[in-house]
Amino acid sequence: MKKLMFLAAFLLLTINVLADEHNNPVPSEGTMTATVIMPLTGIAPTANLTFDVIRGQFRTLTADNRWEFIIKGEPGRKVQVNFFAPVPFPDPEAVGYPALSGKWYGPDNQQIPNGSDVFELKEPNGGFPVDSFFDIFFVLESIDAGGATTLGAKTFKLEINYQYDGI
Amino acid sequence: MKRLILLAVFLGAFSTLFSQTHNDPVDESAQMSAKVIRPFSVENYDDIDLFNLPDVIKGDKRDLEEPVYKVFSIGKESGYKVHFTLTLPNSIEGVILNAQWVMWDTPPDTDWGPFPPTVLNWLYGWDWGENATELLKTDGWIGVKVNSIDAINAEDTGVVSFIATCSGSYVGL
Repeated sequence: MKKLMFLAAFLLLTINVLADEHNNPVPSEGTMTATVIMPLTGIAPTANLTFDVIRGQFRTLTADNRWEFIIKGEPGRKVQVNFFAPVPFPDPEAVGYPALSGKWYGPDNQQIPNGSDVFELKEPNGGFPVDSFFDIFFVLESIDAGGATTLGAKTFKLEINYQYDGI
Repeated sequence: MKRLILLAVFLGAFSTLFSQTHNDPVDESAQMSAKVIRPFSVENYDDIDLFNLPDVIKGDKRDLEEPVYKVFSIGKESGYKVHFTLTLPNSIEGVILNAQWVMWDTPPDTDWGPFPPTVLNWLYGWDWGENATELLKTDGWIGVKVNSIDAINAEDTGVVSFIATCSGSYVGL
């Protein structure tokens, strides 16, 4: 009898040891990735061109002029660029300034019809260079001094802003 | 526990304050400049009455003892050159004015008469501002100087009117 009891106890212990514990957490793994891409950077033109205009008159410019911006970023990504016309600087609301007008052009010299467009940062060939870029530029076509009230040099600001598209 | 929660809230607020908002538009700008300059001007200079051509006898030529001038005042922006196109009066009804284009740097009207002007080599146009001194000037006087009236071949008697023209525009604009 004692041996029987001893055996029963021994078997019970073994069963407890070998059986699964109830409601154990079931592990599982999934993989997520985030790609860190290089921030967008730009190079603005530093040309110091000044165009003369006679007060009260409208001047059409025929001389070649371009204000070129270069935008760099992660290859293969797209960038939305917003374009703005030149405005008086530092006060965009200043009165009595001549009015500057012209056109924006994108990569491959295509004219930008609206105030915004999306461009691709092309993938480099063979893995080089490590970054990619495209250029856009503004061509000044005319200066209207019909409403200019004072003589002298007038400064204008030519601006764009840009951000990655679709992220 | 309360302190721990407070710390977590505090750190969370700070993170929001210092981290950049994702994909903010990047601004880029350049400066352009335009210079508004004074319009070039040429006007009859009426302040002096120098253009009284004397009478001439039909069939004669009269050399004037004192030249007679028709004067225009001219104005430009300092530092800029103006190209002039000048024409002398044509023969009218057979009467010829022997004349030259001249200019003054100072007003030609004085109590004792105009200063001797500079005679211009005008035939192919004249540039006001050709040298450094002229380039800086903003005002001048230009005129037709009549030295003689030739009526040898005059067709008739009576008043004869002559026209001299003076026009200019900025160079390089």
